[in-house]
Amino acid sequence: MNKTLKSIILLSLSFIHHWAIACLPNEIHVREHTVHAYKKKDGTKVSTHIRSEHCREIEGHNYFQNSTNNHFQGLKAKFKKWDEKEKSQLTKEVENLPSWLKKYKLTEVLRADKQERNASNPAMTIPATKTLLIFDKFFVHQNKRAVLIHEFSHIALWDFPPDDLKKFFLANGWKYKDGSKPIPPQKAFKDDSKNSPSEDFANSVEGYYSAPERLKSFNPQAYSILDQLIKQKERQP
Amino acid sequence: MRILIFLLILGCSTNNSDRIKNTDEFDNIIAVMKTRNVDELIKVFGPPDNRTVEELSYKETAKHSTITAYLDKDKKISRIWVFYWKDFDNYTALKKRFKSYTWKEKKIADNSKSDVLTDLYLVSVPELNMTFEYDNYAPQRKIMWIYFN
Repeated sequence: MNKTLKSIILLSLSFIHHWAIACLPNEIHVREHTVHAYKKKDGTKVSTHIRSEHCREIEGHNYFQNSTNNHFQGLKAKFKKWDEKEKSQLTKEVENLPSWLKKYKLTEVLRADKQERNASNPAMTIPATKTLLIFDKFFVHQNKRAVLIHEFSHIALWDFPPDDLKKFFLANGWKYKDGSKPIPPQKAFKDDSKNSPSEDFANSVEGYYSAPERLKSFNPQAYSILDQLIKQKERQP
Repeated sequence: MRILIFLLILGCSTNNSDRIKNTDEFDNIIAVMKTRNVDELIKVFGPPDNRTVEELSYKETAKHSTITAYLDKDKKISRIWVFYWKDFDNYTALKKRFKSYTWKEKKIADNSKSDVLTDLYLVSVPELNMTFEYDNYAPQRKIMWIYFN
């Protein structure tokens, strides 16, 4: 490319404040970070530089790990080895997810006995790293598909447009008038829905598939918004 | 070619100064909150998409986020809520945007029983009466609410 043209493009780009980086369900967002000087395989030297934020495709997705290199602040669980039978059981359940949720790929699926602070949890999610933790309780749970729908919804939530989410949360009774944290609805579909809008969303999506009539009668307006949101996602390629 | 470069630079610098003066949504919100005046809000953001006795709300556009302005008994704006939720690292963008202000950050206790791992922080920018919460474990650290009180 002509040098002058290149400079013009770079100069123009420098005035643009931020790029929208909408990662796909099979990608993970990588934050801006410093890359220290290194030598490429062909001997080329690369000096220390700032790598701007970007999306990275999750390769070898949904794979099972017996441990992780990630350090998760605040996570109290001891990882253990996967059993082959458990692996195939989980794979089968993931295959059975609604199509729009199945598009979400996980970077790692970890196994632990239990969540030490809440032994009744069958599974746990870390949305930023697209990590799923499966506990013993999962394998005795009556509706494993519902558990996975719930956990994948915690990841999918972050890809919905703000106007639609706002409409959904307000219809579900969340109040944003206090000047501090959002105030939960007095009556919620599930008790722990009051913990956070994210929990409320995951419970609602779970209810949409496993108890649609109950969800609809609980709050017809919120149900109708959620129905539209899910149908929009289903239509996306 | 030189003329083209000159015009491009001129165009870019003009756009940039316009952005700083007029088109950055936070500058606009700060200006509106100084007056707390509904007419000023409408002058800056245009007619709202939805209006009730208590609030005026705006849907997201290329120029601004999803915004709601709440009114007090005297019909003055008491606070503005921004549903930020952008497709880039929200926390880093805000930290850069407000680097010239005092930035206070404190860890919030996480719900240890939840099935989602969180690492929550409350940020305040006292000069602007601005507060928001972010989760270090949320994709792109997307922020659901920024309040200007």
